[in-house]
Amino acid sequence: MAKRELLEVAMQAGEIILKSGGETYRVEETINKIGKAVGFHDIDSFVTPTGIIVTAHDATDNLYTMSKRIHNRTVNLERVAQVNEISRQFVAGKINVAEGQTQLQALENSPTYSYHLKLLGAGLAGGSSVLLFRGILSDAFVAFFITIMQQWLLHRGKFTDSPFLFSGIGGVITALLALLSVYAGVGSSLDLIIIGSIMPLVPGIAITNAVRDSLAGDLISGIARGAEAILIATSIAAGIGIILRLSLLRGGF
Amino acid sequence: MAILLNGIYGFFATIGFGIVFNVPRKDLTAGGFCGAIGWIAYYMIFTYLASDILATFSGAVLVSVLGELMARRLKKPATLYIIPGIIPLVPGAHSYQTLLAAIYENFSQAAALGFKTCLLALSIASAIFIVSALNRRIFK
Repeated sequence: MAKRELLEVAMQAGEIILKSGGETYRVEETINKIGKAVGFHDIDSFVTPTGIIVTAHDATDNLYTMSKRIHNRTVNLERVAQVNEISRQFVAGKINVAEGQTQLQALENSPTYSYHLKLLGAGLAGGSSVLLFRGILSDAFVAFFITIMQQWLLHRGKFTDSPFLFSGIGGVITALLALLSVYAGVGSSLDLIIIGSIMPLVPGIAITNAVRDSLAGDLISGIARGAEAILIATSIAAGIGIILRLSLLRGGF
Repeated sequence: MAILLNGIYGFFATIGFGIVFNVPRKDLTAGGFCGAIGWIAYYMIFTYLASDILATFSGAVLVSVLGELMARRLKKPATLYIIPGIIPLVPGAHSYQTLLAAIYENFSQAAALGFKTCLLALSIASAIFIVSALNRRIFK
């Protein structure tokens, strides 16, 4: 197999991990390990949330380099685990390059949970969050339904390509539904319902990964992820803020 | 009783987030367990010692230790259990109150709450980082 293709396998593994929300060091480690396993003499990768650059030497001192622009990142922990497992087997010599390649390609289109189950999961997360913040059970049920509605509307409206639009509109929808539920007398604590329902939108992973990357010395990734997290949090806040501010003008709560 | 109830809430919240983050089915309960224990630690420390930063940090340390142990046991990356497990600790309520203060134009209160939010996030991330660094040092 051509050297270029071998490098591509390493790159693909790294790309999937990065796109699935894996940590920067994990992406670099995976690329370097696979690169060494396929016979490159020396391999170095530079990973940021928006792109990967890999350069490798082979035994005859030829230089191969490749870069990949990453446009969108989601969180898919199963995929991180799967690539991890493939790379582990690959490095241990249990599967060959071609097998590794087909397994990696098969991963790209294998959904873990159905769409409806994911909606339910988001609802469960939102509802339980109300209870965690010492809310009452009826508010938890309200948040459960609001979170499901919010996620459904966001996916229906195809806001998924822009994380900032997604979060901002998510904030608007959540605040509107929460206000409605309190006006209708179903919900009692507006604050807790909103806090619970926005939990699935909150960039908790982005913030955590930002600090972790920075502490691990991946400073550029850390700062980039931090900036992304702050923008997402601000978008949610702006969405909720607009609605609450408008409701204040009408007399408010 | 309240402690047990909180453990149950933490368990379900973690499973919900696990589904949102595509944690494999087999690993959902293990993650839920991590989240429940972490949340119980948070709840007890917050109730008896009244320090939310200490409570968040301790909760995150427990989640990370349990996550690393399970990862070792089940041969999977530790993030699978840690990420959903720490989400209940994420200062969602604080960031919301920061926003609320800003809307009411209480800017000094918003600044204080915002700073607190940052500290809480930092304490979670540093807990995960410290545990995983120690784990690497001890076992490799």
